[in-house]
Amino acid sequence: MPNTKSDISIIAKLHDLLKLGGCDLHHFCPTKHPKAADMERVHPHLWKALRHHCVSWYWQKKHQCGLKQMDRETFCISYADHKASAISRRLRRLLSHHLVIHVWKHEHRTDEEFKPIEAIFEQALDSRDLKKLYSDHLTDMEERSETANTRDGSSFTSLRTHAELTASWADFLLRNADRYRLPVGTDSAYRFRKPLEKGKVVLVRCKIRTHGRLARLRDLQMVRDIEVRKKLVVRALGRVSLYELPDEILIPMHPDLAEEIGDLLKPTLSTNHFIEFTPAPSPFLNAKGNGEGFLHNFHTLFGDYTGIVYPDLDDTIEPNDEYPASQRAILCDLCQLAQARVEYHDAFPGTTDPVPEYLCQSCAGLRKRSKTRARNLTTWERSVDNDEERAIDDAKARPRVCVVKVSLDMAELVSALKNAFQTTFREKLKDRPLDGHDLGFSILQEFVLDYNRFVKKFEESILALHDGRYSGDSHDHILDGFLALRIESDSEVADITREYVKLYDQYFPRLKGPTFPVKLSISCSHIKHPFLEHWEVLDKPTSAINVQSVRRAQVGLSFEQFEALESFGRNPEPRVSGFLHRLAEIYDRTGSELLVKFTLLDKDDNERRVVEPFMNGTVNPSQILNYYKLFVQDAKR
Amino acid sequence: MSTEFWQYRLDTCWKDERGYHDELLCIGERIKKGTFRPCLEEAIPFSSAVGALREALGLPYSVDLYAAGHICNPKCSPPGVEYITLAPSDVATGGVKPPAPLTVKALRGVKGRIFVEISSDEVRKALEKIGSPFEITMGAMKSTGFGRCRLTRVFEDVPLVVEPGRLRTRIPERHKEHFGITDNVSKPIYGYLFDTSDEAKRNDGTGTYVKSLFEGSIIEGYSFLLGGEDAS
Repeated sequence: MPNTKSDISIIAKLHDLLKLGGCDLHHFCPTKHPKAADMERVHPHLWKALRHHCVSWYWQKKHQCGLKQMDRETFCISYADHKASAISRRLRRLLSHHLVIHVWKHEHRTDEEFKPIEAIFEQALDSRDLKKLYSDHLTDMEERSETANTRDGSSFTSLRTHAELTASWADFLLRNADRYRLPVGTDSAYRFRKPLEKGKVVLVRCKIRTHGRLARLRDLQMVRDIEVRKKLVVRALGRVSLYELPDEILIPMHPDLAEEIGDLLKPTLSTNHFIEFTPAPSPFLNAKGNGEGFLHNFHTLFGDYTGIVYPDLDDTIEPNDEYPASQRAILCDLCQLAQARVEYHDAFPGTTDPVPEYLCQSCAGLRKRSKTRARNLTTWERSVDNDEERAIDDAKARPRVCVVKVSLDMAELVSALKNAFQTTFREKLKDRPLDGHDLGFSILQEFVLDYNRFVKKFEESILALHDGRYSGDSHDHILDGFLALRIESDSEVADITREYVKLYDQYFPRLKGPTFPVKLSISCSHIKHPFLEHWEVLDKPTSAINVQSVRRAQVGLSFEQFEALESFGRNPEPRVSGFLHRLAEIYDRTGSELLVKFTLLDKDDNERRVVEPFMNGTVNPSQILNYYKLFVQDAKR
Repeated sequence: MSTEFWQYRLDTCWKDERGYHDELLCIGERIKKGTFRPCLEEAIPFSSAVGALREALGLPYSVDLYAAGHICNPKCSPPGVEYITLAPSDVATGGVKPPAPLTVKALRGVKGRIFVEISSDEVRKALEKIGSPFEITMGAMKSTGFGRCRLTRVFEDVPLVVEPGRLRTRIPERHKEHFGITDNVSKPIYGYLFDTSDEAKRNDGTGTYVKSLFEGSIIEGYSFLLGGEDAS
């Protein structure tokens, strides 16, 4: 019997494998396949999963091959499939296709077809390792939509996402089978379903957050630690997660456990993290009369988080004689939520750090195990120290660093996807406004998969720029989508930004505003500039493209604005610096476009051409000036 | 004594008989070691307001004082953000103290509101005596000349209506009842504020940090301290 997590997980993931074969009959009733008996003999566990449709009375009656008796695993996979589909098919009667439709990329896919793998049954039969079978067909499952049924009209989730969701539900049901009083051994589908009729599940959406106070680059470890915290949270709340986004998780819980959610979460936290959560209790089945049904209150999960959990915090923090650090600082310099106990010196080997930090034990531990150190950046800094005197008079020796970060805002993603659906399916939706809960988590998960591919590709593209100038020792990979590059002039950000825009067009061509969930932030400065000032911009990007040279220029642009400025950037007019400064000054002080236009009346055609994007209302004069400073000025030197 | 609050308008830019004043305000986030010091852009914490008022009013520590506020510039004229680079000098050596130079983020053209509880006759008398307007010095870098503000009393009733909403300031948990904050704190954001009210600690030359509710917390409390947008 497959009773371990990995067993149930992998057979549940493969439950819809026969969809890849393109034969509906074999998918709905694998017993009709000529080699059915072989499959039952060779892979008895997989066979249970493949027959998940035979559990329902409808299919039992239709195919006359009913599964009269079943065990917990078989029932749970079948039931999990229903629950997973209910989440994935929230947007209905819009579009059907065998290929998954990503609304950020496709309007329709009429010109492409999914190529069925006709020998999928035989491949499964011959496979000795089910995990390998799944990974071998992962790409196919990412391409194939979960449902191509025209009545569903909901081909927005891939088979892969559906398979993973089904595995999670099956795992949850099996782990809680005793709590839900499911029959032990084999029994009829009716007897298995009966106890769940009044059963409830609580979906808990958790977001793991940091206090965001970073003093050093290595403190980014607390962002990295979110991954570890997520695992701890999942373990604390029942070991099953339905979805995992970068800093969010959706966890199903038995109602008995959900009452203690605060107490269960507390031990998973340190002073560097806290958790926001929203629980939504829901019955498994649609109850008659009271309007309650499976996920009837799904939308509440998408509102503001209703609860928050901190680790245990002291009411007062006083100086403690036992710890000299506490005498000096009382409160931890980093998290500011615990008593300072450790004197932390950060110094290069052989030197002494003149200003120590006073940290709590948790933060000191974080610094110690941090893997977000930019080792190359440290080397660059040291080389500047050694060459400082030589470099001071040498205008060309301007060692600079450029920090590049791509970020994804989940709240804005929901809003952007709603817009994209409404624009794409305006007629079918009949102008019905969509809400966050209409999307469900499946579509968000699909997007995150695409986003991860995009980030990886972008990193590769940066390292390949200028014949690989940034590869090797000239870059530090801090986190996914977060790089530090050694540059010589600020204008090098131009090529990085252009590469980003090019890739964005490939991956998210239909997500061009007004909301931008994916944002690029680039911050440049002298190598020795404190990281905290970079972080101010990197942490809270406001536009699709955000570029700054610390305390020199800062610009936030949409893709449309960037495109408009690029026409000027590619053929820059000489000697426009003073002119642009003047216009930007007028605009910044008065906020009046009219006054700027009045100033332009006596200017010649060349100068007017420079401000064309302003004249047609795309950008303001400050944006042109900052674009000029960042993208053009240094490049001309 | 029934609860009563006096409301004051806070300005860092004003004109008086000495001329025009355009001051910088830096209610500093507590960041050490770093060479960049950010500042608060919304809250006027309990600790900053009480410290500055106590000094201006000349009230001894034996008199309890409760005050807090928030920055509330109109959307069309937000406070200007300035970065000032300073090099604090070491009095003993005359050199520059590490880490140097230090960059301080400060606000110019701040408009805000401060609410003072008339918790005792001493507080009322002190406020009546100082009149309106009067000046206080609040926040960080006071020795460098930052933090001068003018408070002007607004003669409007401060409604003591308890409502649910988003907190706009920072209040120690132990004093929350003075601001109408009930135990029904649905979403707290916690931090610590420095408190020198403990006499024993003050005599030591040290203080205590007390657990506090920070701006952004979803609470039930007096409506005048609620509002603003959720930054999260």
